[in-house]
This record gives sequence, structure tokens and C-alpha cells, in this order.
Amino acid sequence: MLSSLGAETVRVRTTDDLATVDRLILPGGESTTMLRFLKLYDLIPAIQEFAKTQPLWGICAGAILAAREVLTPSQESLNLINISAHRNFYGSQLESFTTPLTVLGLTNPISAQFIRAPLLNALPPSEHFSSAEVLARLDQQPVFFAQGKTWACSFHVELGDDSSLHELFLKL
Amino acid sequence: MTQKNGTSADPFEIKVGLAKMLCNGVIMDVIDVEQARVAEDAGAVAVMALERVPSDIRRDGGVARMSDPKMIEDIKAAVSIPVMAKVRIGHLAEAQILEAIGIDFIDESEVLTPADPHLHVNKHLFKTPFVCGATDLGEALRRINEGAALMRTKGEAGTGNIIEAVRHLREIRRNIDELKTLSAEGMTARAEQYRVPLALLNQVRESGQLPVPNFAAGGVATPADAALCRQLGAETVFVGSGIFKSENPPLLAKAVVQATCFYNDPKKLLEVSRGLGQAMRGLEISKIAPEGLLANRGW
Repeated sequence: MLSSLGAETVRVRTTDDLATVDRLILPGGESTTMLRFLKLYDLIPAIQEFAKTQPLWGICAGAILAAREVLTPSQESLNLINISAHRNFYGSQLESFTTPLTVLGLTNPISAQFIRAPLLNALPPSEHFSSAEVLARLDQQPVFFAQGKTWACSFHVELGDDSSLHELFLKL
Repeated sequence: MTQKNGTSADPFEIKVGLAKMLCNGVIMDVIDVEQARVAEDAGAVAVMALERVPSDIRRDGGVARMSDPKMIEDIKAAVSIPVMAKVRIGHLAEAQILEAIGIDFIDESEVLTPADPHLHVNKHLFKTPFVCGATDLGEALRRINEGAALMRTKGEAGTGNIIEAVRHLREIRRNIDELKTLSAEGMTARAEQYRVPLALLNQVRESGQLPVPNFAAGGVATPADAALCRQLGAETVFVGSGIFKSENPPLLAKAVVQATCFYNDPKKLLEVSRGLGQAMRGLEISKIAPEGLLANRGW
């Protein structure tokens, strides 16, 4: 998807890989598994430093990793955006679905896929964090947040063929 | 999440979506809560809950059935990663029971004793995604046509011997590459031979790959086995008996997870392969009686 928009992509597995990129996507997957890899390869401090200046987008499991607080069950995180994430809130695979979604800054609704999605909520401002901005809601419930150049969304966009959000991310 | 008003859903796309989330991860067979936790700690991306791993089924004989739902529910409650479980080929009632549990993936598996001599489960009738085994392209496409959202090689489960998984990975690749050489008539004949719609076969010819992810399974016993399968095109691996029949399961589980991710980095593979203790004993395929070969099950 990003390649079709003219962006060069690298799979980041080590801090050396991270040094070669100017923006980072924490993709969907299993946050528990991804967290183990981040720890094993010392990527946590490196990503925290990276996100101070560079755009970062956490998608589904990636949003869980980026959140300030992770619940059900609680889990360590990168603490990059002032939101909480309830893992597997919407149940198992049985409760997954696709829906059109209106996003702030985009003219047309995108097709969002919720797959074992987490529940994301804004946390009150703290010493280190102002409030995160809501970019999209589904039935009142926020599903997409931005804070500075950090994004977190509970849905997937990498599975369809709509690239409008990716274009927006490349402009951050 | 229940479906909201005004939403449209392509159930198959969502099912394949979860399959794609598992790519690069490792799915491990576990028989109890303790093993499930070891697997999760090692970085498994999902677990397969079953009462007996394939090597024990092979040893014990008898009819192998779906596991006790209680045992599956206990494992589901103990880990946060997705949980899969197996049903017998064609056993739609076992599949309905697993769907009622809220299982994340159903494996319609040749490891269990088949329940239907002619048909596999009509997987389109379920909301839960299915994974099925295949030995060649025809078999893979029949399963996908029935609604499977994920394929795996059959390999030869419970042997700790990778040769059959390699055979199946290479066979599927060869079958796909061969489509390019076929004329229109040749494609029609091939679709008939495979017993699948021509449109599906054309799609595979166009894209050069299966329409759903393909993982390796059946005989993976070491980190090097996992790396081999990935280098041959498998998007990740299932490890059945290999982990918990080895001398040091937590250590081997971690190593297989690392090797699956860094499959094309020989230095990394060397690092994770050192000092893992004894792998599972393993079986030579030629020493298994033909009726004992699980890969022959399925139609």
C-alpha cells in the first residue's frame, strides 16, 4: 500500500533498522507477541525517542503498544499517546466486522476493519501529556486518536485497498 | 463486537484478515493451561488447544476427536492470544460446538479421525474462520472454495520430520507456477481436475499465489525447520508435537519464534539454535505403514 504511494518501506526488527526510517507504523498482530520482541531487541527506548520527533502510527495491536495504559489484562506499553487500551474488548474473532468510517480531515468515509479490536479511550491530561484528539468515532465511541505526530486506531486499514489514510500519514 | 446498523461486512475478508495477523508468528499445540502460558511467554502468536498432540495420537491409536470444550475454555481463559482448536474432517457439529465457545480459528484437521468419507465442512456457513491442510494446489483450492481462510501444509504430523511439509510447500509452488504455462483449454481441464471453479484458478494464475495465507505444519521440530519452511514461502509455521516433546520446551519455543521471524538471517539462526537440548525423537516416514499416514486423509 505505502509502496504504491511512492514510499520506500523497511521491516523494522532491530534498532539498526529503525535508524533507517523517518516514520514508523506499529502494525496489527498480537500485542503480547510484539511486546516480547520489542523488549528482546531493546526497541522500547529507541521507539520512544523516535516518536518525540517522527510520525508514528499504531494500528490495532500497535495502538495497544502505543497507549499510555493497557488493561484487561494489563501490559507494559510504549506510553506514546494519552489513551487507555482495553485488549480484546470486542470479543473473539466472531465479533469482527467491516464498516464505513468518517475520519476528520478526509472527505470520503474509509472502510475500517475491526478484528479482535481493542477499546480505546482518552485519558485525562497529566504532567507529561495533554489530551489526545479524537479523529474518528463509531457510534460515539472513539476509535482513532492523534497526539502530535502519533496516531492510534483500533481498526485495520492495511487489509483493504483504500489508501487515503496512508496518504495522510505520509504528509504528517 | 456486534454488527452495527448500516455497516456492511465481507465475512471472508475479515476471516482472511485474522489469518494475515498471524503471519510471521508461531502457532503452538498445547494440551493444558501451563503449556499455553509457556507458549504465550515464548512469543507464540496463537495456540492450538488439543487433548493429545499428534505424536501421542499416533502412538495411542483409537479414534481421535475434538477436545473437551472445558479444556479449550480453560486455555482460552488463561491466555490473551488467539486460541484455535481442531475438529474432525467433515464434522460440522464439532465445528458448531467450537463456534459456540467463541474459538478464534477452527482447524479441520487430518490429525483427528475423519468423520465424513466424502465431504469437508461447508465453512462458508460459519462466522469463525477455518484453517485446513493441503498437499497440493488442487486440495488447497477445494478447501478455499469451501470457505477456508487459511491454508497449511499437511506435512506428516507427529513425526518431527520436515520432509513432507517441504514436499507440500514445493508442490503447491510448482502447481501455481505451472498455471502460467497452460492454455485456456488447459486451464479449464485443470479446474475440472482440481474440482474447483475456473474463476478461482484464474485468480491464482493472475496473482501467482493462493488467495489466503499459506503456513507450514506437520513435522516442524527445530528453529532451522521453521526457517526452512519460511524460506520456501510459508508465511509462518504451526509447531505441534515438536515443542513440548523436546527436552527443554520453554527454550525451544523461544528459539522457534525467533527463527521464524529472522528466517533469512543465518547468524541469528545460529545464535538461537545453540544448546537447545534434545529435540523430539522423530519418525522416519518410510517406517510408517501407509494406513498410518495422516496426509492421505481428506478428499
